[in-house]
Amino acid sequence: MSTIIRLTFLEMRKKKILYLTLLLTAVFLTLYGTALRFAYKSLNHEDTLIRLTVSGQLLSMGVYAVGFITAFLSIFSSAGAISSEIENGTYDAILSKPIARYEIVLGRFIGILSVIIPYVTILFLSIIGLNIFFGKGVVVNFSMIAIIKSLATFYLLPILLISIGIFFSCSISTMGSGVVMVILYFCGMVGGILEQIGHFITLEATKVALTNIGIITSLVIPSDIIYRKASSLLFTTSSGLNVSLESMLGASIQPSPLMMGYIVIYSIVMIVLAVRKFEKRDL
Amino acid sequence: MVIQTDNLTKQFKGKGGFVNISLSVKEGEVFSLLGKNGAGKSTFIRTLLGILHPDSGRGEILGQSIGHIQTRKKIGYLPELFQYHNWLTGYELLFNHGLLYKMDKKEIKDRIEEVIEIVGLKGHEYKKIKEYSKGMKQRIGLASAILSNPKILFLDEPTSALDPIGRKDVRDIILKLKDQGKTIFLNTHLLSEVELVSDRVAILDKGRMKKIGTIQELLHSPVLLSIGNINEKIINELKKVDQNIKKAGNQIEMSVYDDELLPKIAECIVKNDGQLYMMKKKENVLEELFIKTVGEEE
Ligand SMILES: Nc1ncnc2c1ncn2[C@@H]1O[C@H](COP(=O)(O)OP(=O)(O)OP(=O)(O)O)[C@@H](O)[C@H]1O
Ligand SMILES: [Mg+2]
Repeated sequence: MSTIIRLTFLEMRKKKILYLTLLLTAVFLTLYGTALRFAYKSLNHEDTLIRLTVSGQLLSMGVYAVGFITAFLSIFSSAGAISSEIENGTYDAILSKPIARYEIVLGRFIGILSVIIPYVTILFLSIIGLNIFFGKGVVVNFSMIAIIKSLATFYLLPILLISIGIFFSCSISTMGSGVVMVILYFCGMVGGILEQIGHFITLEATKVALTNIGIITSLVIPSDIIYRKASSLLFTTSSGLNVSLESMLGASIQPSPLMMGYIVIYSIVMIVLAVRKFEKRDL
Repeated sequence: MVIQTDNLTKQFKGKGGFVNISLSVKEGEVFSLLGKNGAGKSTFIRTLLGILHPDSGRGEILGQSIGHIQTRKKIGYLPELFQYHNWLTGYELLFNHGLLYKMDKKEIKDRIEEVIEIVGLKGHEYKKIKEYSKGMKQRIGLASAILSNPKILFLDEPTSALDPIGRKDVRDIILKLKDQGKTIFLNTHLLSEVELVSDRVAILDKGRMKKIGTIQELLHSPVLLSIGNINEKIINELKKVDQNIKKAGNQIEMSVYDDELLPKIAECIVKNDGQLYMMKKKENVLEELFIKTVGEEE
């Protein structure tokens, strides 16, 4: 299994995926930092409420970007993790060696995660760091605990998406699993929005219907929940940023801890199913 | 037995593949599976290696049923399309394959030097596989197959991409490995290759086994005789060697399993007042046998 992890890492490096991602991330962070710098500068004279709202928006946007970039990175790196190797015929050489099929699936999973988790950490902390740095005197301090909790929640996003991606990668073609994953991800997002809208609607029947659709979507593809949970953890009252909770991208309802447990189990089940699919398959 | 199958069957939705193959390969033997395109040769090897799951029947390698993971330590395999992670260099590929074999790093490094030399890729090992020619890819594939010094080698058309010299090199490698006591399972449709290196041959057609035997049985058997004054007595004597002799006028075609029998046959014809005008072994026997076995279209 360690060789598969190693090969996964080597592949990302050799195919320049790693450098490219890091380079573009640096560009993104520079742009984001520039935006923050000027935004916060111009906020110096406004009153507290406006300042808090705008800085909340800026941070929300950053956190949203972390979620989005992480999601797509996870989707694209996992959609072909198994299927592209099947399509290229490289498993003939690998599987004739003393390695079990489950080791290949797990190796791929861990390999991709071990690249993406550090990446998410860097990206997330950079976004927070930039906000703290440029927002001096504007943003109220985050608590360390909130940051760590939020980051830890964010880790669930690649875990979830990569496990689903690998499952599809074991089952259908690279193109197919990529398309399915992207659509699923957006369904999750729309489901989340519907649930949010449900909260503001007064008509009881519609409210219940929307909330239910939201809940069912979240059960099928809980990616949006993770993002909402991670940002709600960050925007706690103690950070003084809870005003922003009502912002369009923010989260107005706190997903329950039970849901986080559900996501962990969901991911484990996906990996188990992926292994079973791969073991039964002719290559 | 190093390889043993018992009514092994693998088809794709009821089509293709191979059906009810029973064969066994002894230790130290070079066994060739012969068949035209689509006969099921590659499917057979890939099933034995656990890359495909059989539909029915049994298969064993080194006494373990197929798919047993630890057994694969002792198996080397050259796939027919030799597709490898082409973003690696030849050296890195072999190194990682060595790790897959759970060899230790020092051992891998030493062994890579050796196999690169054996397959004639010296000077190309630090090039990316992407930049390899087809023949070089097949050579690196062969290097990977023999990397772990395996007991059994499965070679699926190992010379398909090679130039004549490369082919000879590979034949020599095979014979050398045979001298070291390795068992070699060869897929091919190159008849010359089969004649030169194999001990035993099986002919596969449309997924079914049509013939199996030692190369002597299959090749050295047909003898042509032209006999004057042919009589019942002679025929009866000849039938003792081959039940199914074919007679056309004074021409006789028969199978003789042992060359030592040839002078005795001549003697017996002469003794029984026959006139032996000609006695010769058929040439291009394998090709003829092959075409006769698999050639006729339905
Ligand atoms: N993955 C697959 N799915 C469906 N059919 C397949 C598959 N692999 C092989 N077949 C079919 O099984 C049959 C045997 O194919 P196989 O590749 O084993 O032939 P082969 O003897 O190795 O031929 P060649 O000399 O061309 O390499 C063919 O009819 C082929 O179409
Ligand atoms: Mg073949």
